[in-house]
Amino acid sequence: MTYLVMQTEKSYCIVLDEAGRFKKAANFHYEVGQTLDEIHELTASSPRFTLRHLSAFAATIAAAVLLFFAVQFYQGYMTPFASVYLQINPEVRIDVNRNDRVIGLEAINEDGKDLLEGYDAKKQDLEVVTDELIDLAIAKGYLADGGALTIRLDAPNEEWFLEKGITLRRNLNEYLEEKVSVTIHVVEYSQEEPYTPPRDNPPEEDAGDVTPEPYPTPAMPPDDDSAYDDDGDSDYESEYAAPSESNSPPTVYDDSGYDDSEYDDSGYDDSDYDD
Amino acid sequence: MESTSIVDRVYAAKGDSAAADSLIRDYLPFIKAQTYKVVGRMITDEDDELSIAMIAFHEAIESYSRLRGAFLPYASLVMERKLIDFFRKEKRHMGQLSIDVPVMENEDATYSETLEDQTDAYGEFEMRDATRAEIMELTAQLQEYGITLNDIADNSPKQERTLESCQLALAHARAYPAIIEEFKRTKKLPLKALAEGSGVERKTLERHRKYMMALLLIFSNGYEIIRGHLKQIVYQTKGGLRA
Repeated sequence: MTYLVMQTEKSYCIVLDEAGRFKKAANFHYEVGQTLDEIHELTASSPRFTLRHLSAFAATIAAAVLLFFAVQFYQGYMTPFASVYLQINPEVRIDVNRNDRVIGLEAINEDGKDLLEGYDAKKQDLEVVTDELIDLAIAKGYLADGGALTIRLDAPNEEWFLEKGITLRRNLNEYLEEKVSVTIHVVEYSQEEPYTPPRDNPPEEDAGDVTPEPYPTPAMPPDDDSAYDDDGDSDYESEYAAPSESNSPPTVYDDSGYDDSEYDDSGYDDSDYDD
Repeated sequence: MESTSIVDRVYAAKGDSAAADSLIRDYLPFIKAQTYKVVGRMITDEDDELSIAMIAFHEAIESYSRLRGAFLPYASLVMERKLIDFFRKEKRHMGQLSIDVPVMENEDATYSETLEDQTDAYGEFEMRDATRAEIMELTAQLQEYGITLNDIADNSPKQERTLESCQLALAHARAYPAIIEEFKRTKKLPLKALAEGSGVERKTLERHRKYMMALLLIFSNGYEIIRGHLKQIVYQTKGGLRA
């Protein structure tokens, strides 16, 4: 690239390059009409920091902060945090965010589609949605006295599973108290082995208007887990299974208050026992 | 404390190269003193380092803001930085063989004196004279349009894409001489005809109006030497490039 000197001043000169750009450059005692191979171009060494730049900078920071909070809000509000599978015969999946707000509702089977027809649950509280879906199930004949309801929780952690499992069952027990008598199972979601409710307490024909009995709050897992088996299966399903009727015991009970005075232990040899 | 007059003069000289040049002339002793501090030897008007320091002072005028504090310390800093850059660049050329060193030890004759001068000094002088005359003529003609070379340098496109857009408009004007005739008759840039004909945005042409006027004048008539220098101008058309 060569430069044609067009004008000279004491401190600078104006040159024309071969591409047609007029530039200001250092004047090394050039003469007008001289052709140069190299120039020291006049450039603004550093941008002017004006009020306009300050405003632009502040606006950029504000936009970045706003974007940060928007992303945080989106992640917190719109990202599924956990899923609740409501299984009667219709099966539906309810996706909730961190605030337990319903952000997605999907039918898992054909009856599920029928159940959800015309129903919109978005942005409602999880407990409201479960109540309303059970109302729908009752109205459409999917759930009646003596029926079973399984809630499978696809929880991100055990804490959420325990807290939500207890809350949901208590809420449903209270809600269904004067409506129908059903067995409510709350289990941990497992994709590999879909949960099948136990059938050891078949529904009786004359269950009448027996209301579900509030199930005692299950104890939190002990610090010492030596009592836990390690067979890989969740024991929650049996521990948290509520009785379907007041006179039908759950599968496993805490037997600490059980009176075993009538137990016949006469055949037990305790001769070696040192009193 | 620095007097406010210099700051006022600096602000007045922003975007006004003539005012900047005047300010530099007034502060030449200061510029020489600062250059001396960096270079470490006496500075004369013929030294390249002084030219670099002056252009740096010019840059300091353009980039100065009151937020940067006093002007003269700021200008010193800019000059020092520019001189250091200049030395770095010059250092790259050091250690190369010079034709001005003696051919033999203890002899005065240098390589340059032993080489045959292939250049036509008289021809070069004549060529530069003719070029200078053409430039003077162009400068005078631009003044009729109320434009100076300083204006054009300030208005010249900085980005490659803008430069290409201006060249596209120029190519259209050259293809339709009536546009150039109208420009010379009215002394106004026919923005509508150029924008519609070349497909370049009117806003782009408006922003570089003075530059476009200079290009149209250079390519209207005469100015053979200047046009010969503009080798890289590619006449672009909508369909592609046409050299």
